[in-house]
Amino acid sequence: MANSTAITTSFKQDVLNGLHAFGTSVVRAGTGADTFKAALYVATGSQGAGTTAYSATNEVSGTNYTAGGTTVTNAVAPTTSGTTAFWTPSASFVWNNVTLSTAFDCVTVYNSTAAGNNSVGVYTFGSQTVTAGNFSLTMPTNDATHALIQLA
Amino acid sequence: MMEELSSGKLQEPLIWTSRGNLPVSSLKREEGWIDNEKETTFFEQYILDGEIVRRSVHVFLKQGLGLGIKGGTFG
Repeated sequence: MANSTAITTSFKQDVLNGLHAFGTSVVRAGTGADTFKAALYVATGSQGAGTTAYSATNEVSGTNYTAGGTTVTNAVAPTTSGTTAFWTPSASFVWNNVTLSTAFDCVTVYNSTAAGNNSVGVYTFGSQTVTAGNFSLTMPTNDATHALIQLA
Repeated sequence: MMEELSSGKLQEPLIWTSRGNLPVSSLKREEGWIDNEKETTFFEQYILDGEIVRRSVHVFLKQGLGLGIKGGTFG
C-alpha cells in the first residue's frame, strides 16, 4: 500500500450532505434534509450552467401547473460506489392533467429550503407540449454512472 | 349510475380532453417514441378534427449529470 493524492470519496458524499463549508456565507436552515423542487422551462429559455437560483422567468405556465414546480421526493440519501458519490430523487417528477401549450424542454432542480432557492442542476430533453394530459420525468438509475447527480 | 350502465347510456368510454369528456371512439389516437442517448420518451395524443385535444408525455432520463472533483498537487 502506498499513499496517493485524492479527493476522498467520503468528502464527495459529505458535500452532497452539506457537511463542509469552506466559505462563511452559508447559513443552513436546519439539520434535516432540504426540500428540493423541480420546475419546467420553455424551450426558448436560457437555463444552464449559469443558472444560480429558481426564477419564474421562462418557466412554463398553464392549466394545473403551479409556479415553482413540484416537490422532489427525496427518500434515499446520497451514497457512494467506488470513488463516486451520487444521488437521485426516489420518485418521478409528475404533473397530472396539465395543459402546457408553449414548448418546453428542460427541468431545473433547486433547493427550496435555501433562502435563495439555489439551483442544483438543469436537465434538458426533447421539446414537448402537453394538452389536458400528464407529463412525467422518470429518474435515471441511481448508480455511479447514471444518477441525477454524480460527484466523481 | 348502475341504472345508466344497465341501460347502456354509459357504455361508451369517455376520455378527458381540452374540450371536456369526449367519447374515445370520436377521436383519432396517435402515439410515438423518441429514443436517444439522453432519453426515452413516449407520447400519446388524441385528435379531434385536426386539433390535439389530449396529449400526454412520459420522459425517462437515462443519464444524470456528473461533476469531476479534482484535488490540487504540491510542487
